[in-house]
Formats: sequence, structure tokens, C-alpha cells
Amino acid sequence: MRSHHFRLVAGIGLDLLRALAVTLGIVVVTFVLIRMIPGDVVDVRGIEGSLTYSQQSAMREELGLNKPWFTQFIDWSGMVLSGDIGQSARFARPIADLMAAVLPSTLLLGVTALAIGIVLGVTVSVLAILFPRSIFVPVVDLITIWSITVPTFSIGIVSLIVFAVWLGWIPAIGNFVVPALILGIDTAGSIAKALYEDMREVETAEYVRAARARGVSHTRIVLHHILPNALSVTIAIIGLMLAGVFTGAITMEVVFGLPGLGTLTLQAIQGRDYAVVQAIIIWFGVTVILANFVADTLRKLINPRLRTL
Amino acid sequence: MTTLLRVDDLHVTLDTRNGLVEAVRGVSFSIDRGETLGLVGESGSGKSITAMSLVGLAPPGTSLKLRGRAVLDGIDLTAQDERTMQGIRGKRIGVVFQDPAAALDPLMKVGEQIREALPASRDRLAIDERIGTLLTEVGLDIPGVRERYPHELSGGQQQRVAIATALAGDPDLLIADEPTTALDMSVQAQILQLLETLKQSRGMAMLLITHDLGIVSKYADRVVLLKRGEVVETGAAATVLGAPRHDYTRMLLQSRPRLVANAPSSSDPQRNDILAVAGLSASYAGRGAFAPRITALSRVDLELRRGDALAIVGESGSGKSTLAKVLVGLVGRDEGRIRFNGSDLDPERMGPVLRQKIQYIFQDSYGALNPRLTVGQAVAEPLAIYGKPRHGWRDEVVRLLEEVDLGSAHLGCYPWELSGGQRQRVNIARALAVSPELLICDEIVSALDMSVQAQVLELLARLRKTRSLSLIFISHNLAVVGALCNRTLVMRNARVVEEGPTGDILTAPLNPYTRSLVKAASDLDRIFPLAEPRAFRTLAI
Repeated sequence: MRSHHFRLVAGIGLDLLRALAVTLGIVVVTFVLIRMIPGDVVDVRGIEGSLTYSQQSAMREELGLNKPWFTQFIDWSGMVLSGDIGQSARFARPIADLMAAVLPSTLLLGVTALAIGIVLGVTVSVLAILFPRSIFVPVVDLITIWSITVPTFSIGIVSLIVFAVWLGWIPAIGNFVVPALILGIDTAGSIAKALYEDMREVETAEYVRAARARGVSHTRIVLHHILPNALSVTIAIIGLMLAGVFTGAITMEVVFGLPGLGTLTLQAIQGRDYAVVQAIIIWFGVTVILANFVADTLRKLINPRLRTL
Repeated sequence: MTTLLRVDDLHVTLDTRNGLVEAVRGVSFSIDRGETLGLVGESGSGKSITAMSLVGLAPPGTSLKLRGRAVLDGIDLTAQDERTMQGIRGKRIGVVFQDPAAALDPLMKVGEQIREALPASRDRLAIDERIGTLLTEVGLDIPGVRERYPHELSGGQQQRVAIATALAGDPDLLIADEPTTALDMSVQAQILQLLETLKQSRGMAMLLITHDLGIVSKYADRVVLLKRGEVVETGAAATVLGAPRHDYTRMLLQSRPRLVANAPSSSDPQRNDILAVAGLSASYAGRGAFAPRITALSRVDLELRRGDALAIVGESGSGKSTLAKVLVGLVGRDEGRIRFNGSDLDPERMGPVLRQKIQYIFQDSYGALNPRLTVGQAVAEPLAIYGKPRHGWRDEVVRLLEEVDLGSAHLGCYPWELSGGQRQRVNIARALAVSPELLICDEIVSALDMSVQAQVLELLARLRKTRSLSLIFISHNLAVVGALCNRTLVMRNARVVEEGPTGDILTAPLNPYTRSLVKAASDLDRIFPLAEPRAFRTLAI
């Protein structure tokens, strides 16, 4: 095994350990933060008038909410480790069932949007480098400015009015394609700008000139020398953007009336349903950590010089 | 012999963001098949641009406008479109660049970079065999080398790979643009010899671009001397260098550093040690989590008398820069004792008073200056830091600038408006602003043209006398130390190999490694004694 292979494997192993440590941190912080919010699920039920004081006490007792935080955390961790992420006190259903019901649609929306963003962003910026005097150069700027200045929810509402109300092309509730496109273009902006600027930078490198002096074609130089050397930062950005894509997905779900994590989160927060909110936040955290781990691993695979420990 | 390339009245104008720059103005020369033509000049003379315009490659961020003719085998290179030039690059004209670390794609394996330069073919076996042949031809017969990335090779090996990529298309003409400037002394000779051998075995012509007249005299048949984009002198190498007709040529010949030790030792009557280092060791973290630490300095001892100038000489990785950096606390030490002015010194916890006494000047004159500060502000900065009254700054700065042969005219200049030599003078003036006793110069002339190098060395020698400065002068080139340093310390692999008076080191080195360094430096030095006034040849090697 060559030394850079060893460093690759060892580096990925260390990254994994770091990811686990961060996950643990997120779990602890989330648990504490949620409990610092005044009011709990029993209070909300009380205000709604459906419980007497003694019923409330009994419910707290049953849910373990009167125990110290630390004991609650130990009990909860034990449950999670045995594969049970708990019951929703508000909906009286297992949290796993609640999330399983809405996760696929949110995941589909987020992943589709990210895929559109990557394909669009990378394609446009590579075309802009391949054809430096073409329309693609201003297009990079256009989608970048679009993604920075136009909030997804407002363009979501506008497109609902235009496409659903005026033109009648899409249903007002439950359309999937338009929100995916809106989120995708939003993502493409940051990717295109970062990649384009990095490629411009790499284009001035001596090894690009050297490849040209060897008679390598412009297309091959762009695809085999400039793009790989510029990708590193972009991959890191994509990893970081995943979180944004999922938050965006939640907004889009609410605007376009799609069933999903967004609606569930809203209901859980309004009902002070600790256990559900906590599960959602942790799920988000783990997803983002996982995405960054994948991004780092990809960068290590592309760039042997990053294979240090 | 038949003419391969004829360049006629070539004008090159660069279209830069700041307007047009006429870089080459009416250059004419020709190269015969199998011949080596040396293209010589200082930085800014247009030698690289002339050569690169033959393959239509502009410096980054600019574009070329060509006038005149450059005919290679009946093809006028100035009149071809990009597509045709692509067919000429690599196949008719190959290029070897100065810095192999920069000229190889860091993400592409060695074999792949060579494969890319080969004519497209479906026959994988034939291509693999061809890559093997090329690697053998450039002397890189290491098993598995084609699976390696450039950063896993040494500088010399990287340049061999770069040469293999340039040869892959079997060019008739090889342009070698300062092919050894970025390499260590002992590797330089090997690479030049390799180029010479390849040229002969392939019957290839070579356009050798260099600022080093020693290299030209040894490897070029004919020479073209450029200054500010115009030809100053041209002819057979032996004639031009042996009997130069122009002052510029004579000046270039005379500013070549000689292997001559003529620096006086200190005249200070006290003759006590300003610096004494004993058993100094330092190390860097290894490249892996469990990799052992890399030893950068291993039990180094040295003594520096007040007013003496000590040269620390070695190749890259020898530990010479680490030693200097430990002395000012830029790198931590593992063990060892440093005494400065008779008392113990802990460089990493040095107070402001001691910091003024030891000043450090860096190799990269541009990087060492804040681009947002004018020369005046840069030199005044230490005065401000050490609380000198503001009303005296201007006079003090002008006095310092005059001391390094600049003047009040430079006060308002920004670093990019100065030449490399001027910037290094500003750095020296800034170091002098706090009246140091010990000045550490880390390769401060190695990025400068030879004529400028000679001037800066002269300045340092003068400052050493007028300010009774003690100097530590780090260099990879033995030839530049003789005029400035009365003592020399040679380092290799983190250890001191030899230390003594510079004269002894240059004439009678004891250690075999020192001997090889002296030989490498003198090989190029000995070749054209004719051009030298007798006074310059005080030392026979």
C-alpha cells in the first residue's frame, strides 16, 4: 500500500471520529436548549383546557418531565441507543412513525434541488470557462445575483400566483417540480460563482500553461486540469449548503402545501413537543455532518495533497 | 547544417489590463538543426516572452500581438491560428519551464501527464511502452514512478518528468526556459547534462534561456544577448563571452559571482562572541499522525564573533533556514543553548529590546512588504513601534534610504513600483531602522539578477563596515558568499558539515560534500577566464 493510500484511509477514519464527536455535541446542546424554552407539552395541553392540574402532574410524572435534566438525558440516551427515539406527547404516536411518514418527501425535494443546483452550477461555470467570450459568462453572474437577492419563499409565492392562479399550469397545492427548480437555481448561484472564480484562478497556473505548451487541447485542459484543481473548494461549499437546501425545502413545503418535515416541525414547535423537535434538529445535524464528511472524503479522493492527518 | 528556425524582426506587444507593453522590439536570430542557442538577459529583457511567443503562449492575464516573422520549417509561427499552433506545440516545439513544481499538475499522476502529451492512440500497450521509454530516457527508472503524484518527487525528479512531457511529441526544437534556476546546485549540473545528452541523441535543436553566463558558455553554441527587448550582441558563444564588444555584456560578465574569498574579518579589538549556539536541535511534525518528527537541526554548534560575517551554505532541506528562524524565534527549538551578547537568549520569549538587536531579512522581497504601505510608511513602521517621536520620522527614514542608496524620491512609492533590487534595499533599510547588532539575511539575493545581486552584496559589505554589523548570510550558492563573508558554515541533512574561514572552505575544503559544492560552483566559473580582468582571478581552484 502506497503511503498516500494509507494517509487516505487513516484520514477518513479520523474524519469519521470527528464527525461522531460533533454529533454527540449537537445531541447534548439540542437537549439542553430545548429544555431552556419556557413551557412544556403539558403546559400547552393545560392551556388548551383539556387537563386538570392533577392530570398535568400525573402526565409530567409519566413522561418523566419532573426529573432533573441529567436523569432525563440518561433515560433518553438509553432509549435512543436501544433504537427507540420516543413517543410524541402531542400526537400520541411514535416519533419514528411521524418522521418516516414525512421524511421521504422532504428528502426527495432537498436532494432533487441539490442535484439541479450542482448540475446547473457546474455546467454553466464550465461552459463559461470553455467559451470565455460566450453568453455563459454573464449567465454565471445572473444566477449568482438571482440566488443572493431573490428569497425563495417570495419567488415561490409569485410562481404560485403566475403558474397556478393565472396560467393554471400547476395545482396550487402539492406541486413538486416548481419548488425543486426554485431551490435548485438558488443553490446553483453559489456553486457557479465559487467554481467559476476558482477556475479563473487556476487558469493562470503555470501547469495550465505547461499543458498548453504540450499541445493539449483547450477542452481537455479545462476538463482535466482546471476543473479538478478548482473543484476542491466547491465540494466543501456544497457540503455546507446542504443545510441551507433543507431549510429552504421546509419553507417551500409550507408555501406549496407539500406534506413534509416543514409542516411537522411547525406543529411540534407550536405544541412544545420536545421530543419531536429534538428528533428533527438532531436529524438535521446528523445529515449536515454526514454531508460534510462525504464532501471531505471526496476532496481527499480528488486531491492527494489533502491526505494529511 | 540547415536552418530550423529563423526569426526576423520580431516585435511582441503584450495586451495587459494596464494597456499595451512593447516587450520585444525587433529581435532577429536563427537556430540550425541540432544546435543550442543561448538566449541571455536579465529579468525584463524579454527573453522568456520572445521564446514563448514562438509557441503563442502569453503570460497569464495578457494576450500577445506579434509582428515580424518566425519561420519554422516553412511555417510562419506568427501567422497561425490557435488550432494550428496546438498541433505545433509539443510536436514541433517542446517547452521546459523554470519551476517544475509549478509546471506539473498537482492532481495528475506522472504517467498521466506524459500520456497527455503523446499523440492520441487506441493502442494502450504501445502508449504504456512509450511512457516507459521516455522515463528511461530522462533517467527516471524508478519502479512505480508513473503512479506517483508530483509532490512525491524531488525537484530534480520533477524536472525530469517535465522534460519527458516536453519530449513526448518528439519536437525538433526544445525551448528550455531557465530549466535549472529553481533547482539545487548539485542537481543543476545533472539536469543540464541530461538536456545536452538528449539534444545530441535526438538531434534536436535547443533554445536555452538563462540569465547565467556560465551555463551559456558551457552548453550553447551561439548566444543572443537581450536587453529591454532588443538584441545587444549575438554570435558564437566563445566569441561573445571571450571578447565582448558591448559594455552591457562586459557588465554581465563581471557581475557573475566569483569563487573568491576577499572579505576581511572583523576589526573589532574586543573580538568577543556576539552569538554562541551549542547543541541546537529542532524538528517539524511528520506528515502522518504516527510519522516520526522530521529532524531539521541536529545538535548544531556555531560561534559568531562581533563584526564577523558568517555564511551558512547548504541545499534546500539542509536546515540552514531553520537555523536562522530558530535564532529569531520563528521556529521553536527542541534543545540547545543560545547565548547572545554574553547572556542566555530564549528567542521565542524575546522582549522588544532584544528584538531590536537581531533583525531578519527574507528572500521574498515582495512578500516581505505590505502592498498597502508606501516605502516611507514601511521604513517608518519600526520607528513607530519603538516609540520614536513622530516629528523625526521623515528625516530618519530619508537618512536610512540614503544609506541603502535609495532616496527621498522613493518615499511615496508602493512595493510594486520598485524593482526587486530596490525592494530588497527597502527591506534592509527597514531592518536598519532599529539599529540592530546582528542582521540575518535569508537568501536575500537569490531572486535578483546577477548585476543587482552584486550591488546588494556590495551594500551589505559596506554596511558591515560602517555600522560594525555582525552578519549571518544564508545562501545555497557558494559563489556569492566570498565577497561578503569571512567565515563559512556548510550544512547538510540538518547537520553542520564543515565550518571555517571562507578562504579555506573555497580553496581547501575538507569534507567531500563541501568539495562537491565547490566543484559544482567552479565548473561553471572556470570556463571563460578570457573575459575577466586579471584582478578578478585571484583564486585558482
